[in-house]
Amino acid sequence: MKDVPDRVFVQKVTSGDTEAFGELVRRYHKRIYELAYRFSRHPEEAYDLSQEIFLKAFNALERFRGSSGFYTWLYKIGQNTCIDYTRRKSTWSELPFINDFPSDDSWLHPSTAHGSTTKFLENKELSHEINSAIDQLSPRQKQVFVLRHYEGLALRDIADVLDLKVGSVKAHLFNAIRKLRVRLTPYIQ
Amino acid sequence: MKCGWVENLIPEYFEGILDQYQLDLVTQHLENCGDCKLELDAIDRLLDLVDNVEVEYPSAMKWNGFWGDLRRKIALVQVDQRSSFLNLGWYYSNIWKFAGIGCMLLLAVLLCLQLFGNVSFLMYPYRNTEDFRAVNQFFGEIPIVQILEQINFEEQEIGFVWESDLVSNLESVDLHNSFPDTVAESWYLTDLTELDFLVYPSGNLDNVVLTSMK
Ligand SMILES: [Zn+2]
Repeated sequence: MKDVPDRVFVQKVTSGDTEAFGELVRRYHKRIYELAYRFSRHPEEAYDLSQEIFLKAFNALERFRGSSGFYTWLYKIGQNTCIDYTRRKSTWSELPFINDFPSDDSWLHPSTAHGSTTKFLENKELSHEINSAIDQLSPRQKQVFVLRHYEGLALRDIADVLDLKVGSVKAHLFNAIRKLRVRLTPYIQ
Repeated sequence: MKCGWVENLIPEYFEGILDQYQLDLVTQHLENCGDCKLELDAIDRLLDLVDNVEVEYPSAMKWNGFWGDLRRKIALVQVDQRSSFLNLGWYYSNIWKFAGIGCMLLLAVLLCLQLFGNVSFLMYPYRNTEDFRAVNQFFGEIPIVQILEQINFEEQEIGFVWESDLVSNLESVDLHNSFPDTVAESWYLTDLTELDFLVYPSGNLDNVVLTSMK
């Protein structure tokens, strides 16, 4: 079963064998879930999101031409679904971080500002902090940051995927990094 | 070269996309400035930390039921498609009725909002003042128009990012032409010290940032 190429299953599905889709799901649901997790940062939502991605792929399978590999095609759907997801979720408030920056310029020189606040954190707690910091980014910042740092896309490719200018991608990326920098100051001393 | 400048360029430095001139300036500065070196290390640790967050998976039971779950959803969609196909005739015979009712409802809602709501479709009375306050705070209470005049008057490159919501509001009060939706904008300045944004790091407008320099 493992050696059978994807396209055999794709063919079976398009000729009416829904069960054959199960094999494709088994092959890729972990990777797709991980993609979804990077954007949603929550197991339940990542689960739902990855289900949504496979459902979309199933419904669009007849339009899959096979010019790229199945996974490449599936990943593209995944990417777009995740980008849509950040857009529609957008818990991001209108003017975020309005009170988050210290009123003086201590954040420019955090080494002096935060001195010994570093404390040991359980890995899980730290992950939680990081996740919620990323969650607080604006939708655009989050999309750009995740695509860059988790999906490893080049700035040029991110610009294509999001239909932005490279300059905007850069700016969003750097703003995201700056925000995370401020948010996570206590953990990077 | 000022520390603020270098710190602003550090993310670009990390991505390896500074031009040679900027790269030289930053490298030179980093050799002599302990604070900026610390900042560089901090960003390094930050990205390391963030990149290494592990993926959290759902419970084994849920995970094992992934395909079963999906199978049910697929079945639902298939049933749905069949029934909507069968009901097509009924749907078409009533479509104008639905459209009519829809239009009436929409009109009613619009009317109510115009009459009783805070929200108007023609202007942004509430957001305007809020945004202006934020902008002014960011620039240390200098009126925004004055800032723009100052920027336009000089000639050196400087980049800003404004989030789109804010942008549309700024446009709505005539701060014109330089604000397309969510982009890094360029204006021109000869003497950057005249407009030292880093003096105002309150960050109220988190997306106004210097991004590059000639
Ligand atoms: Zn310095």
